[in-house]
Parts: sequence; structure tokens; C-alpha cells
Amino acid sequence: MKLLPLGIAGVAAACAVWFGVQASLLQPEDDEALVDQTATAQVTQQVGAAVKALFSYDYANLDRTSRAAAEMLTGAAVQQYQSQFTAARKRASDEKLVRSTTVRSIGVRSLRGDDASLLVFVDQQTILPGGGAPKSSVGQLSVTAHRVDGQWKITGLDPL
Amino acid sequence: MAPAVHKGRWPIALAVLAAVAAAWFGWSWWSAAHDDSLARGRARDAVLAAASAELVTLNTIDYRTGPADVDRWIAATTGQYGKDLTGDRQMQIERAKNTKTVSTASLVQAAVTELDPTAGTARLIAVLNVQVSTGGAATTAKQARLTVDFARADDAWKISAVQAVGS
Repeated sequence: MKLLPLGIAGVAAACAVWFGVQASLLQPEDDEALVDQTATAQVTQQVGAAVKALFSYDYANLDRTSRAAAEMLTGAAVQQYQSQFTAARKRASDEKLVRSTTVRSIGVRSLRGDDASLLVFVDQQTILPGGGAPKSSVGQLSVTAHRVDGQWKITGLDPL
Repeated sequence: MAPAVHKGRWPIALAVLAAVAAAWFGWSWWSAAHDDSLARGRARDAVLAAASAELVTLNTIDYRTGPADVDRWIAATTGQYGKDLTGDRQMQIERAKNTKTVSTASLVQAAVTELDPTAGTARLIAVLNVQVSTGGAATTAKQARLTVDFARADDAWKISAVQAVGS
């Protein structure tokens, strides 16, 4: 009679250990990409809009693109973008170019806390002053972003 | 003096304590196993893993091993796409042989864009580097950007459609 509670204790303890181990094996990982659908949609929308603004420009209003850059870039991306955009900016004003960029496809590769990395497909159309057919080009970008006060900012832009 | 615990009671207390612990861990296991976000995270990782292997497979062929390579294409696909490849099997083998095609590929980057673990469907975008040589000529490299549809078939994610994202 004395052994029965001990037996129950032993079996229950074994179950507790087994269940605990199984539960710990199922701990959700920290990558929230496509898991937290609201956060995924938010980073997709904000980074998509930023890429569109950063790679679109009008020779008559280049400051708008510069303002977008100041607002949407942070960290290493500032320098990275400036070095590319300085040349593009000069060419745009010399040749009177208008370039519009659209995001063709965008996907979140990882989303951990306030850091995300994304893959972005862009289509670009450049309108030349002569009035000829616009020139089309395509691009693939690997983008990293960091969330500051609820707003996603781009920290890295790498053409693939 | 505080009343001493009866000597015969401690095994019962121990049994109760262990039962409570078992119930607690049992519940946490059950709730973790039925967590929707866990299923989504696992499905996302499974799709990415399938993509990196299957996209490479679908862009790999050597005219000297054509039949085996095309069979691997068929094994990596499902649905109508898989049926189409099965129907075209001989034609694909012949074409590779006649043009002496050798193609290899590597995945540069991929991201899942749509995921429905319940329905067993997913969509992904991917950038692939493909190296092709025909007729013994030098290899030319090109980068492909793709939209890829996946469907779960027999617990494995397989490609149900591939589309090049053109300009």
C-alpha cells in the first residue's frame, strides 16, 4: 500500500520529464518571417516603398530622391547609396533623365526582432528627353532593414 | 511546536507534485504542438530547403546522363508541371543530346512570399545562377529571377510551377 503512491510519483515524474523534453523541442524559433503575418506585411510594404523611392528620380527634382534617402536609409546603407547615387545623379541632370522604379516582387527572407532581410525584384524604366521609347531594365536586390521607432529603415542594399 | 507531517504522507505528496508537473508539461507540449505559428515556421523552412535543392535539380542536365537528369526533374515536381515534364521526357533527353547541353546551377537567394500550410501551397521568389554550355562551347553564365509555386505532395514540398520574372 505504501508503494502505490511512490509508483504513481515515479510514473508521473517520468511523464513530466518526457513531456517537458518534447515541449522544449517544439519551441518556436525566433524567425518571424511569414509567421507573424502582420509584421511581415509591414516590413514588406515599408521596404518596398523605400526601394521604389530610392531608385526613382527625376532630373528636375533630384532633391526628392535625396530626401527619401535621408529618411529611409541608416547605417552602412547611407554611404553605400551615396556612392552609387552621386554618379546616377550627375548623369540624370546631364542627360535629363527620368527613371521610375517599381517593385515587381518582394519577399522577407528573415525577420528577427527589429532586423529583417529581404529579396526584392525591381523593374526600371528610364525616359530619355528625346521622347523615344523608354529603356527598361531589371534588377535584383538583397536588402537588410532595421526597425527604428516602428519604422523600417534600410541598412544594406546589395545588387545580386 | 508546528504539527509534524505524518511520516506516511510524503509519498502521497510526492505523487501529487509529480502529477501536477506532468500535467503542466503535458499541456505545454500539447499547446506547442498545436501552435499555428510553429506550423508556419516549419512549413516556411521546409519550402526554402526544398527550393534550394529542387531549383538546382531543375536546371541541371548533362547530355551524357540525360535520362537520369530528366528523371530527377520529374521527381522534383508535382501537379500539371510534373505531368508535362513526364510527357516531354523523351523530347528533353533528345534535345540535350542533340545540342550537347551541359547545364549546372546554384541558388543565390530565395524568399517565401506566400504560405498556406493547411492547403499545402506556397510561393517563393528566387535568384539563380545558371551555367550552360552547348555543343562543347565555352560555358555562358546567366542569372535567372524566378517565381516558383510549391505544392505539398506526400509530405514533401515540390515545384508545381516556375515562371521567369521578365522585364
